[in-house]
Amino acid sequence: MNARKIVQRFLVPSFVVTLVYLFRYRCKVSPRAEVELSPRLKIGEGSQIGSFTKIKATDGDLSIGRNVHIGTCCFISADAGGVSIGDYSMISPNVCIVGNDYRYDRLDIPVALQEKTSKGIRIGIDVWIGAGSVVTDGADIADHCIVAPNSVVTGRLETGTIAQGQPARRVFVRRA
Amino acid sequence: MNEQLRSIVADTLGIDPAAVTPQTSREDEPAWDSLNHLRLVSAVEEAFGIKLTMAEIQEIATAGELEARIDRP
Repeated sequence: MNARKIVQRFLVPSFVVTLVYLFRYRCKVSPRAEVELSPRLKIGEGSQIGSFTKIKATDGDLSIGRNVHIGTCCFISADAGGVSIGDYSMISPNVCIVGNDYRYDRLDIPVALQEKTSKGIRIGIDVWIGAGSVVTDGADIADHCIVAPNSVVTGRLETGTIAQGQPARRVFVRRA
Repeated sequence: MNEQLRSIVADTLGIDPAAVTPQTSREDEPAWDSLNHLRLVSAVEEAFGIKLTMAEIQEIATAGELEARIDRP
């Protein structure tokens, strides 16, 4: 870990982070959240990040749209492929969005030491992700989707899909 | 009651077909939660070739009401 990462992660008091994001992006980051001061992290106006949520953007671009609500105790991590969350999306408590994976094709090297991969994660506009869900690397959730609590999203969800399960499967498609 | 509908309701909710009556309702049947309601509507739409509006989907609360909607042209 280089000096810049150490400063970003450990030496900036949380209330300073809260104030920076409030004045720079007009968004509300809880002083109890762990959000890095990183040029790779963009948060749209009116968005809110709840307490005890950790957001990592040191290894990839992470874009959070406008008026996005991220609940308490979430973990969102971007790697080379990036992570984007569209406007007006709601991320419920205890949701994990992890934008990387590990190779595991060798037994002589621990998985932790094998190469990391990152396809990136895209979450569209007006998406509601239920509490306790996990969004894995490569997931692509189109606009207006709803993910039921405790689901695991691993792939593509088409526009307006309501999905549930591990992996999340379509239950219904929203309509007017 | 329509036997095909009875079968769909029983399969979707995981209950005995004999227990499905027109009075079987979202309120009384624990398995008839919001997601199973949508599953039920999808299965009925596919089986009977109809398409319900969101308002209708939200209003339907019993198997009898679902059957009445199927019978409506």
